[in-house]
Amino acid sequence: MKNIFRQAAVILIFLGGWYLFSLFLSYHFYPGHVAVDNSNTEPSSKIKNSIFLSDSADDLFGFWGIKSGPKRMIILGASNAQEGILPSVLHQQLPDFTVYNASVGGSNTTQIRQIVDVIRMSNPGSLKGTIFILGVFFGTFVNDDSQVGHVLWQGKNITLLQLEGLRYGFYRPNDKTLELTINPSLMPLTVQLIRPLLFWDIFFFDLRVDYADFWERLHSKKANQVETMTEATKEGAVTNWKKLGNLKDFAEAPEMDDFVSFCRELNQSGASVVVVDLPLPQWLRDRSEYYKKYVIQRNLYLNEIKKIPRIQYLDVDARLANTPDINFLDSSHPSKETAKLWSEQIASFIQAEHNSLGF
Amino acid sequence: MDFLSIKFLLFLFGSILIVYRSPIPYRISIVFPLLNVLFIFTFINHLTALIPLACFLLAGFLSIRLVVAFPYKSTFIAVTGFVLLIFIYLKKYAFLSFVHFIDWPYLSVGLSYILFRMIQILVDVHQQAIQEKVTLASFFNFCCNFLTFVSGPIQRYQDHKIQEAALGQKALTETEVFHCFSRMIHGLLKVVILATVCNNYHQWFVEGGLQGSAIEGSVLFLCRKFILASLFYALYLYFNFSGYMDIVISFGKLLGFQLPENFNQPFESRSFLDFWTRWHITLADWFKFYVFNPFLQLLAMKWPSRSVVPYLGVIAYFFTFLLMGIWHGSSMTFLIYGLFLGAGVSINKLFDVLMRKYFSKPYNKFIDHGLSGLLGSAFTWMYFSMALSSFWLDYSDLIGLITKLKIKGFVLSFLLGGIICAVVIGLFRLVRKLLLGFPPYWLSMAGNFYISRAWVTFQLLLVIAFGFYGFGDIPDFVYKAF
Repeated sequence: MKNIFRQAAVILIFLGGWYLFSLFLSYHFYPGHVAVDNSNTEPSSKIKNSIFLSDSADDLFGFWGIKSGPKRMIILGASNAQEGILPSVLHQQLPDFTVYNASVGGSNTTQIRQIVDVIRMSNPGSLKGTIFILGVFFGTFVNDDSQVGHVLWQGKNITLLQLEGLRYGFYRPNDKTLELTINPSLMPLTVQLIRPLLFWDIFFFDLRVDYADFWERLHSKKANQVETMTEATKEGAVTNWKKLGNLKDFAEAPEMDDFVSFCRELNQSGASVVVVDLPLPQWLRDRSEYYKKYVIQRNLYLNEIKKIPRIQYLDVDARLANTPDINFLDSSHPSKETAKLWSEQIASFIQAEHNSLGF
Repeated sequence: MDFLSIKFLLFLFGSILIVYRSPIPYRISIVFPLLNVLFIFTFINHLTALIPLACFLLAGFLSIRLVVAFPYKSTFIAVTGFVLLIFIYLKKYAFLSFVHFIDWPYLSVGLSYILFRMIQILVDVHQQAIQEKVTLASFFNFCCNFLTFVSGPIQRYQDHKIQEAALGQKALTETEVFHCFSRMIHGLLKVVILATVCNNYHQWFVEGGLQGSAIEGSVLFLCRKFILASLFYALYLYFNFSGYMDIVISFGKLLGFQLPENFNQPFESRSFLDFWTRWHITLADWFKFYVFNPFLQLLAMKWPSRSVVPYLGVIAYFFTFLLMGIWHGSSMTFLIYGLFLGAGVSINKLFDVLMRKYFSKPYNKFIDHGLSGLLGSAFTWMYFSMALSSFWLDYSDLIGLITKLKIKGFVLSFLLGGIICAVVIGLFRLVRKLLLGFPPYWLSMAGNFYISRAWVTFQLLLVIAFGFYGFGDIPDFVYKAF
């Protein structure tokens, strides 16, 4: 028996050696330990400076490593906000702000709210001085049962963010929110301690087909290449949106009310909010019943949020007098040049509205 | 108990500590049964879940006593039939839809393997191959040995008894212990990483056109999907099952058990018959001893001519493998699986018999040729992969696929898939040959204390990294369900 435990100890010692070596490698190759910020000039889907691999993990863990300054701007939304709003461009025009793009592919209001929960947990206290840029489009108002950013886990409908939290074991889903499973004061250290495992996990990432679901195929594989939009691909995109659920359940009062109350919560926490309506290609606007319904219904929330202080609404499309279809890579993601244009518009708008936004 | 959990790891090391520290006289009668009970308890939430298993075990034990007390053929047949009936009832076979089954949740893990063990004791007691008294503790330890409870390997009672007597008494050298750990970690690597990745790719191809209403497209499109889904599933099953065996066998060795091997390089099989001497060996052996041999004897008694014996073998093979296929599950798909296996082995046997009869010399020359070995391995693997589709397609999808592909599509899949396998296996053998051709100095480096430990622990680090993140992705042991 002695030999058994002696060999087990030898294995543990060698494993410890590998752990330390991997920790060194993780700092060497991924010195940055922050969520996607303005040092990134690329769209944030191309996360290169983060060891966390996925947008959700980057939010869940990246914010624990950030010492937040007094002025910060956090972009939230789905993948078109991720692709279409460039932190580097915003930072260029508003240099006083550190800008993070914390958008997660497939987000609706529930998932966006969860990201804010994580930001709150990692940086308790007031959100005063923070400007949230909420990139919205009709997909933001799809209900939880149909949203692409949701998955079934043990019979429950949870968000990708909740799933990602479960994977590492430091968060657990609690109804529509996320709960930490360990003491928050231990979280910054824990995030450092799991780096060796995350480092090796990078090599496995592409082997995880579970990530290649509809959303990932749309987002990761196609979003950064110009897709030839034939009639068939256009129809396919419209059909894919239809698959998400019934039109009658979409963008109804509950989803709109949820969004408005979320904006109110942000306001009550001391934050300022810019709701940015992101453009979509003309062909999708013409064909999508979801989009048409959204245009009719959005007045529901616009009228309400206009009443809330420090909240502004920007329709990028109206400001640019329509984005030509050629500037889109697919049914919702803009090209990098277009994203730059959108980001400049958003930055100018914020500059112009600085008084009403309260900074 | 989740086999990839800290709880299981603690159980393993805890049991080593308990077995080695406990007084030798109590190891078989108290310590080992307690460990087995504890292990079984980890699978249940409520005591009632154990009632059917307990009844099944009790029926098995009483049957053995009856066979000892009344050593007649009729007693043996009656009690074996009785045990089989209880098993069929507890497994809720689809053809028993008219029967009212137990409606509370109960433990069904390991039932099939317990049945094999019971029948083995019954047959051997009846044939007086087991002469000593089978005590309740020995019976329970044999049937519910926590090492083999879930998915085997299927050990003979006589072998189990010898090893049980030496439980925790063999002093292992440090090198032996390291080899056990090394194999255990290798098994984990197979189960956690390789099986998961193969399963992910398998799912990818299945969801991309082989399920429900998605079974659409040209024959060639479906063939491509079917070939890749089948091959990845077979690989997944191999890594999943053989990895589990590596863990169990190496851990058994730490406790002093020399469990039988279940896999012996199945990629090297030269034919489908050869395959079954390399894949799930203990199951194939069990069926050989307890189904094939008696059935062949029965046929030979009816048709005693020596010239027909090889052909009777073809029939016996078909029947044995049909039964083996059906054993795998209670639904209709496993009947199709059994037919696939039965057809595979019987055609293989018939081909072998006819070739040896009419073209003996050229046939022997042909089977000795390297290329025939490669093609044999490739097409065997492809055939088996296709047969396994019963594991991952439900009955309606399987019928849907058969309707779409027709015989033409299946033959095309077999041929194209066989060629893919031939290329992959050929490359694999080439790489292995190149590696073995390294200068002895390099090969001896692999045995170096530091290099070997570093390599093994690096694998462990990868397993932890993958497993840590892979929450919910790592599939359970496939054979746990049988």
